[in-house]
Amino acid sequence: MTSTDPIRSVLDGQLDRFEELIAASHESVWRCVAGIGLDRETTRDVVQEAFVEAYRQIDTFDPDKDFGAWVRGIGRNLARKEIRRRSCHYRHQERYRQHISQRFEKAEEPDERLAALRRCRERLNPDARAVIDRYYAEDQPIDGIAASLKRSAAATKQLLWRARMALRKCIEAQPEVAT
Amino acid sequence: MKRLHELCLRLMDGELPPAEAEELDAIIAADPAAEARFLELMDLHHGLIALAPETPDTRRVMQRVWRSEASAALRSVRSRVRRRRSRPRTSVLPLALAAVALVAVGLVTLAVTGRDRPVAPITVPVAEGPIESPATDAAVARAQFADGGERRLEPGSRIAVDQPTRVHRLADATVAALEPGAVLVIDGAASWTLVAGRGSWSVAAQAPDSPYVVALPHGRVTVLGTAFDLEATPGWSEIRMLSGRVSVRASGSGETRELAAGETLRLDVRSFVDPDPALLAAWDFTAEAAPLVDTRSGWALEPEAPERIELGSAGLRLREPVRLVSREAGAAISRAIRERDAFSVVLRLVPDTGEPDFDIRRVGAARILSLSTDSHQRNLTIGQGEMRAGWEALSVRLRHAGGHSNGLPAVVVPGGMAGAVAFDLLVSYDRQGGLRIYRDGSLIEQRADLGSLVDWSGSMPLVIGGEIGVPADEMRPWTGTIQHLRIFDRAMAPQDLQSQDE
Repeated sequence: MTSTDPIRSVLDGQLDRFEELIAASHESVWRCVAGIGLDRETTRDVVQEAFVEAYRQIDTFDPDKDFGAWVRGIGRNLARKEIRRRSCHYRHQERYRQHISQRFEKAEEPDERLAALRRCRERLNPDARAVIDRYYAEDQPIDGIAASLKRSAAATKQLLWRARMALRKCIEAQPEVAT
Repeated sequence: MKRLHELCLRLMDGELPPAEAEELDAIIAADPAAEARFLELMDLHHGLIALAPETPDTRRVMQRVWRSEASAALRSVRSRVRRRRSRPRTSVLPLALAAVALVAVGLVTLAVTGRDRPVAPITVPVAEGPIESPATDAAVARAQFADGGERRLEPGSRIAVDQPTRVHRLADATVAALEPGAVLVIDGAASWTLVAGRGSWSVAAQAPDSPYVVALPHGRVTVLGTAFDLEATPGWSEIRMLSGRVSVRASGSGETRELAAGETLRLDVRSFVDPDPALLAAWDFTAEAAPLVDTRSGWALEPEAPERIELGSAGLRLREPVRLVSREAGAAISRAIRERDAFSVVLRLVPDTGEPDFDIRRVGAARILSLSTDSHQRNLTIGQGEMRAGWEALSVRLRHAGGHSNGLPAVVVPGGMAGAVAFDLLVSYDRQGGLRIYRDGSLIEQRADLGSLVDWSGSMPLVIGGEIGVPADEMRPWTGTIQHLRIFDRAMAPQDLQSQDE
């Protein structure tokens, strides 16, 4: 009998259905790993590795549990190892590494912070939201964003900066987010 | 605070050179409020990255999984089967069935998820239908297909499989597990030929006076009782020993070598090939067959617009803006180099004369070769042209500990790309010697003050001809001709390359 649940199908040997599990939980794993404070490159590496590791350990997974939460846990551990592995030549790199390592110690979940950030992003004016979305969501370079907004690169950088400052002020004003 | 904000902005955009990085350090060390603001801004920046997840590359994940897991599983079961066979009166049937199941699962998974590396184009004519077989001689083998079908094979049969297939020798328990795309000829009861593709052989013990032989395009494997993997391509054939010993004869030279468990031997049309173990990838763009396929590991460079490249005896001609990309090669090369903390890139190329169509003062050098994801993030770029040094300058951007994730500031060699005739470029790095750049065997630049490559990303594609991750009109295209490209995970000197080429 073929199971319609991809988890049970994978555990039954239909390994190709693991791709469905990746597609379904990728976004939450990405948010968890990126929310720790790794750059985009490293986040991509760690998220992929988390799914590879989950596949390797799939026989240990309880199908009644939340698969996404399980992979997020694997991703968090891999992110911790990556943070420890990295060299920090500059003080600001080392200080940020300490800052995000402390999050691990406190077992902080990034969901609250990200929820506040999402709300604040919705409140940006259209121009500011456009430049934030193109830079972060579409990963466009400044030159490309400037061309599409018909502005100079310098003006676009200024707009991006003002958008970030507006977000920072908005987050500070959110009472439920720890700063 | 204004200066802090300016520096943080540059840091987020990947444009903070070392001097300003030190200035940032001084600011946050002197003022706790500045440090707190710095951490807030970094949290904000990374939070926005977190809110913008990328589209998952599920295929890539599955390829990585298959490569690591199935190989280990197959070898493990095969070794258990062989141990059981050595004990008399022990039934190996359950383990053999497990081996069959694992091979079938593994190969079916490979068929579903796709190959983890491309197979060079094969020019061997393939018969219509899966099997050609002359009539009437008794079958000496049996093909068992992944879809459940079976066919008995007589001497002279030729099979070209498009699904995982196990071919059993009827005289004993010898079996070849063929991957889709393999072409096998049953010459006789004890002699088969792998014409093209890949397969894993598990061979029963043979009597000394009746050996089992598998022929390859460039040699012949005489089985002395063992298990091995074979691969046949137009340019080379390879034998990877899993257990036991075989004798391999090179067709070109007539030389014979024995191969033991754990060893790999490669043959080409001339004889045995002994590549430098540090060689990660090699492209000969002047080759007649499959010039875009690396001869070391089989990675294919894919042009985004094939009509814009020319391939011939002169090499890879880039006359118009076009990028050639291999994500698989880039990731594997980046990881290997990061692990060894050393590399060499060897290019033979001819740049076009004349200034480019884009403004190098605004967007930087034309990209000849990169390991990068966009204009802000790279492991390495070798390029032509820099703002202050002009169009004939050679530019090398290298990501290293203590430096910038965009490889800035570049190492610039004025005149390093001058001339309209072919020249050899060697860019090498290790912790002891730093970065060294040679042109036609002469050292033209050396930089010793660079950190390690420990921060290299393990997922950047290899790109030839332009920057990736930017619109087509922003790609900083390089035009000219590349004849050869080799990449190593150790620092080479010109004399090392000379001894290899002899």
